[in-house]
Amino acid sequence: MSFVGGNDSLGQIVVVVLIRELAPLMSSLVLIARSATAVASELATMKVQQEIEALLAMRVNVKQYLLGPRLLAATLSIFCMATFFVMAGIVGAWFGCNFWNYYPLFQFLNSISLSLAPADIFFFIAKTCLIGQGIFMVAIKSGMSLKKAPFEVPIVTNKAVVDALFVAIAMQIFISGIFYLWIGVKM
Amino acid sequence: MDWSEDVTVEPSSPTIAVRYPVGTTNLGTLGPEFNYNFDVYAGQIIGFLEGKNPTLLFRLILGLGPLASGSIEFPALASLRTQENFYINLGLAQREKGLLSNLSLVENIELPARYHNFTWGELGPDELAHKALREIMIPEELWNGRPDHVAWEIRKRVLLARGVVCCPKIVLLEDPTNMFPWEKLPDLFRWIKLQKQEQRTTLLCTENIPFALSVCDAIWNAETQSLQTIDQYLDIKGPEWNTFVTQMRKQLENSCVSI
Repeated sequence: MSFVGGNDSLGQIVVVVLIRELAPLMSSLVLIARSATAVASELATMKVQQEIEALLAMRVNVKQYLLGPRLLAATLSIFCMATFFVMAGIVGAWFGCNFWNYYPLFQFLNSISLSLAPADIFFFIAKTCLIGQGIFMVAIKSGMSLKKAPFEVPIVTNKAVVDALFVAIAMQIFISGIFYLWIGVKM
Repeated sequence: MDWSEDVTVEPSSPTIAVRYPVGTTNLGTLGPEFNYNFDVYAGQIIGFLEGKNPTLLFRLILGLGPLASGSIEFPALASLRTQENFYINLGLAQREKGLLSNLSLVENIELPARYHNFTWGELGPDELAHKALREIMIPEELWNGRPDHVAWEIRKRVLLARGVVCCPKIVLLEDPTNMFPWEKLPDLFRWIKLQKQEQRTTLLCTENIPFALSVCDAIWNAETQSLQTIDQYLDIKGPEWNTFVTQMRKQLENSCVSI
């Protein structure tokens, strides 16, 4: 960027690419690969082992005991992962900037803060939390949809991954669309 | 703990009640497929024998619906939600599965007591779980183990203990001798008699007919829809059964650790 005199645009690029789009998307992919598969297979295995039925017979609310904590964990974990992704991305971007010419860190962070609007932060939080919940709801639904046999466990796990991927990308597009429409309306 | 006698469905719905020396406690209504009231005495041990009908009865009592091809279906969930205390009064010890694999044995037993914040006098969920574990004679070194790391017999004992941790009025034992080696049957016999001492009605569903006839006070005849005493049941079967069951009962009583 320094060759074309675009150093001042770096902050805006980081905000638009990293904070608005890349961090939620990549975090959701990691969440799907690591956690959604685990949740789907765990719940499916619990169904096979009749653990869900045992909870129902003990009058334990399955939604409150099993599903609620997982949804909350998804929301918090994807937000934390996306935040770490952003921090790592900013540090990596700064190192990249300094590869050819020295670019002060303070100036770099300043350009990011000038480009970062409250709406970006709000939509970052909303996007990450909603996508995380969407992914885990798909995983939970897939896991609980198992009928009887153990051989269905990998089938529902695969289905959870594919459906969660689709939901994550669709929500990403949808929320970004709302954001840019909202900005357009404001202007 | 106070038991509610509030019956929230129509008076014509069949009920289940427990008779005590001082009176009768109506525990609530049975599932919609049930056709008759079910009165039992506190501390009574009732056996349900011979095949699928007993398990069907258990499913109906719990509002779980009919057993279909080995799976459990829940058509009566709507009525379950209106009768929360009813289902705390019933303890269920399932046949073989149902332990949560991510919890230890003691945590599995504590689960219903802790979830419902159940206490019995000064005993909290922890103490109740430890009491249940001692009564079913599970070695203390296994208490913190996971279900997958212990033998099937120990898992069965944990299922039995979990069924009584909330001190229910009625405990349903689904094939309790399943997974019990024959030489450990006196332990089970002793434990069931302990429930009788604690004035807990036991409904026992099993295909191990000799054991059931040795331990039960009465047998439920699904054909006549009535309770029969053991003597009445054995009269139908023949004198050789009477001798056999008497000997088995004596053997179990002599072998079990004293209560």
